[in-house]
Amino acid sequence: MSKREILVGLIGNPNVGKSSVFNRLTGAKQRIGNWPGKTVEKKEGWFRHRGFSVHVVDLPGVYSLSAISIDEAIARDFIVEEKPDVVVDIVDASNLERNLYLVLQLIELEANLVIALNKIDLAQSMGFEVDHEALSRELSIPVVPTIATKGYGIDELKDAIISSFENPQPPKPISYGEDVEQAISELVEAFRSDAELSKYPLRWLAIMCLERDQTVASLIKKSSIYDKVKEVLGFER
Amino acid sequence: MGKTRLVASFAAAVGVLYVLVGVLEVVLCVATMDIPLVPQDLFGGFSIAVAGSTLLVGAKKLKKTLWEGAGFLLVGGGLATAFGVLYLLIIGASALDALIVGEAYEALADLRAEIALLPLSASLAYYGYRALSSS
Amino acid sequence: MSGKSFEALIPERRYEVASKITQRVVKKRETRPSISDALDQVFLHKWLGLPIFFAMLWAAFRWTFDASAPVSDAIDAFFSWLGEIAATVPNEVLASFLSDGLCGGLGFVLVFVGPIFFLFFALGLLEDSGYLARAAFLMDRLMHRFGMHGRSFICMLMGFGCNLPAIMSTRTIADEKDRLTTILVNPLMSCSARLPVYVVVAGAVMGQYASAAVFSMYVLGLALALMMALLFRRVLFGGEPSPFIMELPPYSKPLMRNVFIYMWERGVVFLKKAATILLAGALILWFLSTFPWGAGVENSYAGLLGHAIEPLLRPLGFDWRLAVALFFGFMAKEVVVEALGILYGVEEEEAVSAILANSITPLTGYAFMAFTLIYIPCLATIGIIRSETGSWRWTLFSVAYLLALAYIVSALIVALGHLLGFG
Repeated sequence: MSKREILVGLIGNPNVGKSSVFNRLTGAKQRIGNWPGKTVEKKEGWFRHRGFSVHVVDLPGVYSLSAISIDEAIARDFIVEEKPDVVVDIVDASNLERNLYLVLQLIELEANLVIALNKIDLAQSMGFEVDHEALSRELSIPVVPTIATKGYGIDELKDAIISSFENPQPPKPISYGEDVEQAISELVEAFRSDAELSKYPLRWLAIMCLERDQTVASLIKKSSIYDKVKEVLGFER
Repeated sequence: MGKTRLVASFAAAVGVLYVLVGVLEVVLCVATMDIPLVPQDLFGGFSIAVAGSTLLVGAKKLKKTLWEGAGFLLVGGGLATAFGVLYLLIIGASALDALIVGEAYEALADLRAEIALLPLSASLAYYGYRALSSS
Repeated sequence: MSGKSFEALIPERRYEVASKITQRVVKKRETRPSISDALDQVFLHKWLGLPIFFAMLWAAFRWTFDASAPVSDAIDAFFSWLGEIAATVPNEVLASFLSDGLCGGLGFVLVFVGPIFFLFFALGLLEDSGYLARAAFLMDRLMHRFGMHGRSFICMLMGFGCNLPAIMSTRTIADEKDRLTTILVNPLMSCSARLPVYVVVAGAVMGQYASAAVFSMYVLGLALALMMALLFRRVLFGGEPSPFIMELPPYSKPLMRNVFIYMWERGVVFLKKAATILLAGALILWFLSTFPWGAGVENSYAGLLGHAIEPLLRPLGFDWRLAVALFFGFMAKEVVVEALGILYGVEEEEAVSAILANSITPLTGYAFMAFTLIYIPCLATIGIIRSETGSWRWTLFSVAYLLALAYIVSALIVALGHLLGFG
C-alpha cells in the first residue's frame, strides 16, 4: 500500500466558496501562515481518505494566472514549482463562463485537474442547469458537483482526488485556433531543444511567451534558444 | 391584494415609530436632555431612523411590486431587529460586567424603546423574508 | 495572420472557448428575480445605501466594544486578582515583577482578546453574508478621490476598533501600492486604545466641551488619514489606485461554521503576535519605571528619560511627565493614562483628572490629545506593519512620518490657540 502523502492545491476564482470547500475537506486540521517571503496568508490543511494522507494547500483566489498580482503569482508558482499531485479547481456553477477562464489556464499548465462544480444549488435557483457530465466530457477532466456550504459532494470530491492521484490523466489541450496553434507548435519545437526549459510544460511556456508574460520572458532570455524564439515571435509583426 | 396593503400600512406605521425614536435620540443628544426609554444616542438614533426610513420606503414600494418592497422590509426590519437584539445583549453584558466588577446594576436604565419595538420589526423582517423566498 | 498581437488574441480565444463550452453545458430557465437582486435594490439604494451601511457599522461597533465588555473585564479582574496574590510574595523586587510586570502586563495584553474576537465575529458575519462587498462598492468612489482603493475603506473602518486587525485586513487589497498606502495611514484611525486618553484628558481640561473634543479627535484622525493617503499617492507611489473591479457575490445566510473559523484564525494570529510583542513591552515598562529600585518615579530610568525628552516637547507645552507618558504610550496607547496615573502619584482616574486640570491648560491638553492620536503607532501595530509590509524601511518610515506629523499638528494647534487668545 502506498503511504505517500498526496499534495493538493486548491484553486478557484474569488467568491466561489473555496474556503467552505477547504474547511469541509480538512475540518479542524489546519495551519495558517504566510507564503515564504510574501505577506499573503497561506492556509494548509490535512485529511485522510482511503488510507491516503492528503495535504491541501489553499491557493489565493484568482481570476486568472497571468501573474500580475501577488496572489496570481503565488498560485502560479505553486503549481509550476511545487507540482502538486492534484489541483482542485473550485468552479462556481452559477458563473461558469467566467470561471472557465482559469480552468483553461490550468489545462495549459498541464495540471492534474479535478473540478469541483460548487454552488450547484445556487445555480439551480438562478435557473441554470449545468450538465456536469457534459462539462467533464468537454474538458476531459473529472467534475464533481458540490454544495460545500452543506457538505454535499465532499466525499465524492475526496474520492476524485484519490483516483486522479492514482491514475493521473493530463488534460487534453484545447485548441485556440489555427493561427495561435501554429505559433505555439513552432515555439514548442524550439523549446524542446533546451534542457532547462523542458522542465516546464512546453505548451504553457509557449502560450505565456506569446502573451509576453514577463516571468516567462526572462526565463527564455536566459536560455540557449532565445534567438530562435525571437524569430518565431517575429511572425506576428 | 388586501393582505399586502395591510402589511404596507403596518410597515409604514412601524417605520414612522422608528424614525420618531431615532430623531428623538439625536435631539436629546444635542439638547442634553434625559427622558426614560429614549437615551441620548447620536449614532444609535441615526441608525434606527435609517431602519425606520427603509421600512417607509418598503411600505411605499410594496404597493407597486411585492418583490421589491419585500427586500426593503427585510433589510429595514432586519436592521431594527439587529439593534433591538444588540441592546438586549448589551444589557446582558452590562449585568454580567457589573457582576464581575462587583457593582450594582440597574437594567432599567439601559432599557430602550428599540427593545420594546423588537417584535414589530422582527415580524416585518420575517414577512419580507418569506415573501422573497417563496416568490 | 489576423493582424492582432498574440498578447491580445490568446485571452480572447480563451474567452471564446469558455463561452462555447458554457453554451454547450448550461441550460437557462426563465426565473423570477432572486433574493440577491431584491436585497441589492436596498443595500445599493441611491440614498439609503450609505446610511444603511453606517447603521450596520454602528451595530458592529456596539457589538465589538459593549457586548465584549464582560470578557475584557473578566480577564482584567482575573489578572488583577492574580496580581494581588503575587504582590504578597516576600521578596519586594520579585513581588513587583510578578504583580506589576507579569500579571499587569499579561492581563493588559489579554484584555484585547474580547474586542478582537468580537470584531472578527462581526466582520466574519458581514463578509460571509456577502454584504462587505457591497460596502466596498458603495465607498469606492469616495476613496478613489483620495488615492485609495475601495477595499481600503473597510480596513480604515476597522482601524477605529484596533489598527492591528485593520492592518492585517489590508491583505485583501491586491495592488501593493494601494495596500501600502492603506497600511501607512491606518494608524491615524483613532483606535479604541486611544479613547481612555481622550476621556481622561478632555474630561479634566475641556469642561463642557469634553465630548465634542473627543469626537473631534476621530474626525481629525480620519481627515489626516485621507490627506496623507493623497500625499503618499502623489509623492511616493505615483499613479492612480488600481481600478476596483469587483463582482458582487450573491448574498447567502452566513454559516456559523465559517464565521467562527474566520474569527478563530484571525484571533489566534493576533494572540500569538500581539502577546509576544505587547508582553515584552509591558515588562520593559515595568523595569524602567521601577529601577533603580526605591528611587521613586521621577528618578527612575523612566523619569530620567522624561527629563531627557522634555526639552523637545517644551514648545508644545508638555512637561516631563507628559513626555514619559507619551514615551510609554508607544507600547500601547492606554499606557499613557496609566503612566499619567503613576507619574502624578495617584491611582484613581478621577484624581488624575483633578491634578491634570490644575497643572495643564485646555490648550496643552488638546494638543496632547492630538499628539496621542497621531504620534507613533503602538508597539503591536509597529510589529504588524513590519510583518505586513515585510520591510523595516517602511516600518521606520511610518514611525518617523507619524512622529513628525504629530509634532507639526500639535504645534499648529498650540500656535493657533495662542493666536485666538486661548491660554
